[in-house]
Formats: sequence, C-alpha cells, structure tokens
Amino acid sequence: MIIHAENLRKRFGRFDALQGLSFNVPEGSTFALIGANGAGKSTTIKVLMNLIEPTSGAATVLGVNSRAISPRELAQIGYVSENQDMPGRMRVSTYLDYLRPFYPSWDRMIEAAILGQFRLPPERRINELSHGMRLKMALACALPFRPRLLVLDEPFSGLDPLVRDELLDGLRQQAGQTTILISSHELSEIEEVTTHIAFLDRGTVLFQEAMSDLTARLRHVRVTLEGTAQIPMPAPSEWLDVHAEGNVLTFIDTRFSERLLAERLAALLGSVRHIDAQPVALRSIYTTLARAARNSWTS
Amino acid sequence: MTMWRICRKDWGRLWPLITIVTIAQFTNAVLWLVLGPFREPRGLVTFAQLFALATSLGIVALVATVVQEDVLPGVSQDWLIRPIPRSDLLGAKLLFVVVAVHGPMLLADLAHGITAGFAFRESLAAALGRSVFMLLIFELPVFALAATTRTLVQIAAAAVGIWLVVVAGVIIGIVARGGAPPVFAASGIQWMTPAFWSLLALATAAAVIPLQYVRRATSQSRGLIAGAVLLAPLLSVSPWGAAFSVQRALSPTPAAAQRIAIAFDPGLGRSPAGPIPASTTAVLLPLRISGLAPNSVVMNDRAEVRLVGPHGVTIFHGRTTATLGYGDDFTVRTTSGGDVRTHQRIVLPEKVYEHVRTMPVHMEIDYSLTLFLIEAVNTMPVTNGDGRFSALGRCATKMDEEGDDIEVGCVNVGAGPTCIFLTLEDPTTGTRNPETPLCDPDYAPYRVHVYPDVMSQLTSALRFRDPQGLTRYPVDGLRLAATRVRLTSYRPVVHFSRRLVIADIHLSDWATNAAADTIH
Repeated sequence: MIIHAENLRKRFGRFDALQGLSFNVPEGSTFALIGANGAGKSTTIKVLMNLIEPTSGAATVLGVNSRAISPRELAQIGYVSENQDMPGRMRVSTYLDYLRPFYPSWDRMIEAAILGQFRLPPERRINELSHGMRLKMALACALPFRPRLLVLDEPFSGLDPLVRDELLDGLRQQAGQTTILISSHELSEIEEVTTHIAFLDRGTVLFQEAMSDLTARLRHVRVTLEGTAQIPMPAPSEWLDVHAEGNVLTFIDTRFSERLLAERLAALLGSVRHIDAQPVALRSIYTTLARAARNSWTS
Repeated sequence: MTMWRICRKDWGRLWPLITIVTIAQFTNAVLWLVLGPFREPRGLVTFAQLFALATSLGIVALVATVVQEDVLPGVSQDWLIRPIPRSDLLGAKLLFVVVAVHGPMLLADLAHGITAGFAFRESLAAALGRSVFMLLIFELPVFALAATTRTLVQIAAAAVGIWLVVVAGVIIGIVARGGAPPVFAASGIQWMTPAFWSLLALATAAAVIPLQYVRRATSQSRGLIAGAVLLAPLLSVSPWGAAFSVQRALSPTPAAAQRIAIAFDPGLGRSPAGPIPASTTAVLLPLRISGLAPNSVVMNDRAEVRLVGPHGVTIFHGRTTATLGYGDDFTVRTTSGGDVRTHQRIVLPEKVYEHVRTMPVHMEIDYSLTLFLIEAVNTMPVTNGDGRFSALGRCATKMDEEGDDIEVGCVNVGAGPTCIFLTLEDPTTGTRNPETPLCDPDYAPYRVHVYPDVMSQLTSALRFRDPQGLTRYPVDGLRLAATRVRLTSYRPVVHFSRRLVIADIHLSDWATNAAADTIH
C-alpha cells in the first residue's frame, strides 16, 4: 500500500473533523476520496501530507509515517490543491526554474509538453493567472518529476468545463503511471479514471472498494409488477432508495446478483412482469449511499 | 545548495527593497557624519533622526518580508509540499538577513568610522559590535514575529499590541508604587531594563524560530511571545537592592572600594539651602567620606533613608531625594584622595518633617555607590581644536555665536565615555574655571553604540563670560589664545553599598536655613 491510514482522528476545537478514519491506497491505483462538504476529505489529505498533525492515529505515505515525511518523500509526491498558495509575484517560468533543482527526476520535456498543453504563459505572474490557470500551473509543477504519488485535493473546484477537460486530459495521461489520490465533488469527471473509491462521511470511511467491484455489485433496479407495487416491510437491507409508484418498484441493489435478485423479488413481491437492472453512475452511487448514511445517522 | 537556491530566489524577488534599505543605511551614516561632533546644522538633526527611524523601519520591513516570502503559519503554502528541508529554509532566511541587512550595515558603519578619522581596526570592532547587537536584539525578534504572522500588517498590529501591553505594564507598576517612577530610572543601572527586554526578546526569538521552522507550532509560538510580553514589565517592579546586587557582582575591580567609609560629621556645620521642591523640606546632612583613592569620584546612585521614632516606630522610609534625577544627593570628587567632607541633601515630605522636627530620631541610610577612577586628562585649544583622544574619541572646540561659551563636541566610534568633567584652564597661571560634569552614567557591562548610528556623541558648553556681568570667571575671555579646554574622563571601577546609622539626631539642626527659620 502506498498510503495506509489507521484510525485517524483530528479535532479542531470542539469539532471532530476525523473520527477514526482508516483506508488503504494500493500502489498504481487512482483512488478517489468522495464525500459531502465537511466529510473530512481535505483534512485527511492535509494529515497525509503532514500539513496538519492528527490528534491521534497514524498514517504512512510511501512507507513513511506521515509525521516524518521528509524532502526525500516530498520529491516523489505531486500535490495540487484548489487552495494552494503559490508565490503570486513570481512569473510562471521563474517559479518553474526555482522548483526544478529540488526534484532530481524533473523532466524538462514533460514540463515543456505540459506548458504547451495547458497554454501557460511563461512570463505571466502567478497572481495574474485565473483560478483555472493557477490550477493548471499547480499541475504543471506537480507532474514533470514523474511523481510516484499524485495527491489532488478538489482539483476541479470552480473550473469551467473546458479547463476541467484539459486538466482531466492531463490526469488521464498520468493514470496507470502513478498512484493518484484525488478528492473531488466532480464525480462524473473522475469516474472514468478512478480505480478505487472511499466514501467519507462525518470524518469516517463508510466503505472503500475497487470501482470494478462497486459497479459490479450496484444496480439500479426497476421492477414492473402485475399489480400495484408496495414497498416490502421490512425492505431488504441491501436495497437502498426504494420507491414504489403504480406498478413499478425502483431501488438500488447494493449486492446485485441477477439470479438471486429474481428469486428474492419473486419471494417478496409475487408475480413480476419485468426486471430491468442498469449499472449505476458514480454520482448516483454517491448520492444514494450518502443519503442512506445520513438517514442512519439521524435515526 | 538548497539554502543557496532559496536565498537566490529571495534575493531576486526582493532586490528593490534591498537596494532601498542599503541606500538608506549609507545615507544614514552620511547624515550623522555630516552633522559631526557639534550636530550642526541644527535643522538637519531632526531630519537625521526621522531618517534613522525610517531606516530602522526599512530593516524591519526587509527582514519581515524575506521571512514571509515563505509564510509559516497556515497549511496552504506551496513550499510546504516541496522537498525543501526546513533547516535549509531557516538557514537561507538567516543568510539573507546577514548578507542583505548586515553587509551594508557593516560597510556603512566601517566607512563612517574611517571617514570620521578612526582607525580601521577600531571602526571594524565598533561596526561588528553594532551589527551583532542589532542582529540579536532587534532583527531576530522581528524575524520571530514575522515567522508567526502572514503579512506586514499583522506584524505592525502585533508590534503595536506588544508596545501597548508593555507600556500598560510599566504604568501599572508606577501606580502600584504609589506614583514613584521605575526604580532604575535615571540611574547608572537603567541599562538593565532594555537589557532585560533584549534578553527576553532574544530568548523568545531563540525559542520561537526553531519551533516555527521545525514544527510550525504557531499557536505555541504566539503563546511564547505573549508570555514574554507579559514578563517584560516585570523588571520595573523588581527591588532596587536585588538589581544593584547584580551590578555589584559585575564590578570591574571589586576590591577598589574596600577602604571607603561614610560617617556622620557634625563638625562640618550647616550648609546653605539650595532649591527644594514645594511641599518638601530639605535636610543637609554633614558627611565625611574617607578612604578615597587619589583622582577618584564617588557617585551616589541611590540612598534610602529610614527614620525611626523613639518607640521604634518607622516614621519614614524612602529615597533621600523626592525628585527624579541623577546625583541629586551628593557627588564626591577628589584629586588628592583621603577624606572628603560634604553635605548630603535629604528631602522629606513636609508632614514628615513637621512630625519629627521636635524629637530625636534614629536615622539609617543605605547607600548604593559607584567609585570612578580617572581614565585620562586631555587638553586642547579653545577654538578650532581638533583632537583625537583614546577615552573620548575625536573632539573639537569652537566659540559659540554669542561669544560667551566654548563649545566642545566629541564623537567616538562605538560607545562614548561614562563620565567626564570639563573646564577651561590657563596653563600659564594654573587657574581653572569651575568644572562642568558631563556624567550620564551607564554601568552596562557591554560598550556598544547601536542607534541611530555607530558613533556616540557628546557636546557641552563652557561659559567664560557672563553677558550681564554678574559672574566673573577665573579664566575669562581676555587670554583665550593661551586658554585650554581640559577634559578629565572617569570610568566606573566598582559598585558598592554602605550603611550609615545615626543613633540620635535632631533633624531641625540640619534643616536648610529656610526650613529652619520657619521652625524656630
């Protein structure tokens, strides 16, 4: 595991931002941290990057305790954040000139390619760049040294679609070559590059899973019955977001198996006219699970 | 290499500010050089003072800006996720301060000293002393403050806050003492207050800077600074005795005062009254100070008197002078050594005097004294004199515009003399005018001149003619060509304490004439 977080807790005053958070990021994966605002995504990343100290628990990054991350590890980590404060009065080229010697593996060809791809003006001061351009600049400073780990904290926040696509292009090129840890709200954008996912809610990991497993076991099921549909009481625990309207029952099946589903529907609902099970988009997975989590919290 | 890269980046970013501060430092040196030993033209003095202040602020801005180029508080700074060793970052910032601030400062001070006529070695020593001092007590604290803030505005706000707290602490101390000024004020040990503040600032900086650069523990660092600020007024409420004990321990020649004694000497008789403050009564106590070495001066740094009534009740306990000022009690000076008789002025509140005037009282006086020994005697012409003296520096003389005073001005690279006596003498006849003491005792164990420049300066005017004709001077203007200015400089050699106990004394016997008249 390139990242291993164990029971991380972080308290800000009386607010518990992280409440025993644990997860593992396999090497070579593109790992997405997903959660609502305040779920603890950015705090988790800041703890991993040793920007803040955890109240308790521990994490290892590149095999090193996050509290002891040294320049040796930082030389292998690319980091991009929506709130990254780069030296605003420096020019793009000057800052790249400054950074280059700190990274032994810095590749000027990659740098030139990224600058060209992102159309970053070398003579422009960083504080004269737009928000999107600044994020591109951050990525341009994070990729040329071929990082072993690329950490992206809400990289698409506040970007127009064009810039988002350009950033995603840059990201796609990295996927597979490097481990990527990304936190984002833009689920549809990261869906195609994500290999693993962790759902965060109120400072804990609800679950983490490989995307392939997740998409395989979750289905949006639409059941057409002979008669009027009624939600079975109690509904199976693996069914989420259950709705009944007319003779149609819809739900998200979180343990989908085509054979078992047919048998169970027959047992619970009787005569079934038609079953339609479609893969669920990451956005729907997220909203369904988040809603379920919220309901469980409130109950 | 990393340190050098960061330093080069900061240099590239801040060169306009470096240039401005460098020019300001050299201009400051030129201004004080032009003003010379007489600080003329007068109109330029105010400008030079303001310019020195602006230069200091420029240094603050440069130090703070270079630290805040890589801000420490916060979690969003880009440098935090770069492979930059914190030790290299700190080293780069310190290197920058030394090179960009102290390089020009050292050169300007060195050039100032050499141009003013001092040798390279002594100019370099003074310039290095000032530079190290400035770094330790001024720039490192600024550095620490900058390391715990994000912007210059925050530093300015913090500085104002610190100043307000320290001033409030000092005022609370004065109020707690019933309105009495700080115990060290107007005494030779007043250096202890700025020294304590400087040490406190340095110690805080020494703790905060590594704490910030290694752990980025901003809350703890700010707590340390706040704690130090709250401690700052502490010295102003500390007792004189404890502070003078420290000063005693720092005496250069502790054994030099072993034979000196103070005794009550009624045989000296009464002395005429001098001016005394309203609502007070002065007693002029006859004293004999014995065991003095030749060419010595004894200064009374402070004397505390206790009056005890017939039944053992303390009637009064306080300083022997009500006013704030150095040497109000007495100063003893002798060339031949041995015994000196003098009157000590003791100012009592009128109510106290009224209470004790008809009864015998037991009197105890605790003296804190300093013995000075002669350092050098120098003479020079009264006009157009230009001499270079080891204890004084470079001195010049001239006639004032009214033609009744000889003005003497001295500049020295580094600290100036502690105490000198000046007079006009006629070497052919041996006559001398009354001496003018120029003593601003500073018993600090270090001799560095820090502000506004590397040179210390003193001026004095020696009168030889009274335009009204009321006073006649032994050395007057008739033989000016033959007249010399005589400068006698003294250095403190030992600080010591003595106690005088008078078992039974009627204060009315020694009250000033005016006070005695109203009583009897």
